[in-house]
Amino acid sequence: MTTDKIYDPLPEGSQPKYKTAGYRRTSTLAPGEQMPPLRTLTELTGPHFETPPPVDQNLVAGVDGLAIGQLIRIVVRVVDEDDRPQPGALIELWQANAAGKYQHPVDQRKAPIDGNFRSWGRGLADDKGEVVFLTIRPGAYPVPNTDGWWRPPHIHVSAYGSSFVSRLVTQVYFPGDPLNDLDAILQGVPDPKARERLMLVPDESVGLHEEALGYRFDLVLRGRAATPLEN
Amino acid sequence: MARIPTASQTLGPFYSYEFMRDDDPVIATTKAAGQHVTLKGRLMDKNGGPVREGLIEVWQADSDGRYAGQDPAADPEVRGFGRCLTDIEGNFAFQTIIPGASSSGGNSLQAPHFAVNVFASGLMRHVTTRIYAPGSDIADSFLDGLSDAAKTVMLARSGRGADGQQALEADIWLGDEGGTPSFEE
Repeated sequence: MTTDKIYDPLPEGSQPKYKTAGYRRTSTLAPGEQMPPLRTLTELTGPHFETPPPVDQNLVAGVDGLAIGQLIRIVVRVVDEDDRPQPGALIELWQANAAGKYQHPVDQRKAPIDGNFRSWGRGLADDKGEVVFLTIRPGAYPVPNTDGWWRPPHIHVSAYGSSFVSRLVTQVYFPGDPLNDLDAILQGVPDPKARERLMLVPDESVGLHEEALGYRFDLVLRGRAATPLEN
Repeated sequence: MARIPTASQTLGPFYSYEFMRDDDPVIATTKAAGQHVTLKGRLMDKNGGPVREGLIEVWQADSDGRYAGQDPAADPEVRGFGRCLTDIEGNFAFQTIIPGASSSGGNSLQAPHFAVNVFASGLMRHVTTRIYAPGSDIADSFLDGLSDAAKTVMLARSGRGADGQQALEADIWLGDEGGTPSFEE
């Protein structure tokens, strides 16, 4: 029964606070005191999605050749809090090109556009909970109307898991990038170990020989295995 | 091995329009059983300003309170899920039906409601709330326990859509000054 699932409270510091120093916009959006979570049938069920075509997992195959930039191959593994793979989870991914420019009307910055790069991808987790993307390492870009804040290279990831409460939107980063320590959004996660878990993990075994660097990322969604209810 | 859920990060302003399909805001088709409505409102910040490029997601039961994917008897015309990017004025709108009272998972019923997740640039984690359909006589312990002010915000108002169809209107106020009540994760 879905209603037997246990949801532990999230460990202190493992999630960002709504109000974050150095990121002004958060102060007008952060909610006040929140109510305890509901865990009814509503929250423990959720939508299912159809499988996107394989072409949607390749962001670099342009009509005139390969996208410009450092080619990378990312294996996203989707699991729950018991480390169980989550087949059927829909993953959406979006990012800037190698020059730090998005294919998006809101991005008005003067920066090169790469006609061979598509800045979005999506895929459904397989039986192992995995979705594989071929893309490039994105460039850094400045945040408008700030005092010199540049976002470090990052990739946005959205996941729909098994239920309404397993929904997650996050960003993943490249370990060792000097901008990571200066980024208000990444540093908005208080626990350094939780920030570390947002780093892509280099793994040459999932790369493409002499072609693309390999990275792994484990996406851990809310939810645990069904356990017998205690009397 | 118990694992700690991955930290959220803001949606940012560049969520690709390419992800959005024409039927994403269609929670129930025109063939679905039940009272058809447009569920609409505005997403606003603490100062009442519009929040554009926000992502509103809705999950709901069919007209008999059954959830797609969970109850084999659920109405196949009710996907139960919809999502919508807010426009420049913060507007969102869904085509759906008023859900029936659904099980709490235990022995009690819940008043007809829409579960809502809100994402926006500058929102470090998403906000989870509910919108309740007006006019239900179901005794709902959660709803009954709310303050009058909170109840007023969470109950949708009946109105008319641009096409003359019945509409349920519920604005979502972010911010920490009397905004829409939300739930911890």
